[in-house]
Amino acid sequence: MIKITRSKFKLTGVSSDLNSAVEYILKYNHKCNVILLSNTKFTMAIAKSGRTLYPMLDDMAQLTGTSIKSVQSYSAIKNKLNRNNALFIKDEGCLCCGSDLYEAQALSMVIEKGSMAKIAASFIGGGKKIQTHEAFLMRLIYLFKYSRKSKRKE
Amino acid sequence: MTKESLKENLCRAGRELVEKKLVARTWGNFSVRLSVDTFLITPSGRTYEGLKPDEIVEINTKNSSYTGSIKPSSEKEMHRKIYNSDASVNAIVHTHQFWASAVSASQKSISAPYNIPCAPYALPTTTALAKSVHKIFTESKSKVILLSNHGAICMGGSIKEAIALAEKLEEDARSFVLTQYRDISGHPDGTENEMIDYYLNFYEISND
Repeated sequence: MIKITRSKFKLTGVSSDLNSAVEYILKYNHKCNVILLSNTKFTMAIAKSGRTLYPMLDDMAQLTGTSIKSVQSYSAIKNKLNRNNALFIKDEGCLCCGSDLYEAQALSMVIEKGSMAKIAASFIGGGKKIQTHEAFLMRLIYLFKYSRKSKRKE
Repeated sequence: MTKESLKENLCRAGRELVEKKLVARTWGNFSVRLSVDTFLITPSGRTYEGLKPDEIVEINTKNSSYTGSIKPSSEKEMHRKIYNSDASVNAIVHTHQFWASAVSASQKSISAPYNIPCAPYALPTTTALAKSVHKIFTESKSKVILLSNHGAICMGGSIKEAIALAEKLEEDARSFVLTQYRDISGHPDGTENEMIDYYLNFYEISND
């Protein structure tokens, strides 16, 4: 995992494409303060497949919404992470954006579980993805509750 | 056991469930029976690592009412229905554990030798979900139930017993998936990593 925070934005030893991608996300996604490149086992498998991951589990729907798209390389992320908080990069892993490290790690965790569900489903007779409108609704409710909680903390 | 010691037990159970990766963040919830008419449950929207006994909420099993200003878990109805229908259940843990949740996405029961039923899908926190779980529980009498696209629920005579069932469920769910993969692939000793490779070769890349 590579953790990058806005306040400590200095990347060395990584490709210029990744550097530009991080710069772009931090510039245009103002809710994102932490970016985590998740490359855990099942997440990597989905990243390798280059496919969109649809939520099959409620907690993933709450945190990611209706789907997580996939792009071929870091240079293709433009506009893809302005509204969404996660994106698969082919053969690299999944970029998880959070307002803090706790949120980015939670995202990475539900994506690993969602990826596991997708792979397991292919051996046990197929999985059922959460209906798009239900995933959308769950995400809205989650964001509403989360924003209320944040306001209470302020 | 006194109410205070049961509350402390629940807090300890929270930490144990997090350590064993059976719950995370504020997901999942767990409860213990206090009396015929009441049970204690974890609060809504709190993380389990630092849960305090005074945050545990007491619920009336007859009407779901609760005292105090802390909101109980929004899945309290699921717990209440189970306590009301089986006097031998003294503790319930609702988990979002990895393998069991992954299997629950197929909306199917885990077949023999595990025999773990799966409750039909309903949106989380709704009474429909509580009814769905209760129906499967009364029909199957199983102390371990998968919740479609959501997670699992385990019941025991004590919280310790319920956690042990959740741990066993995780092993069973993993074994179940690996067994299915081995049958399909013809690799009797196939590992998790080989299952992923097989998936990429035969389900994804070959479907392009």
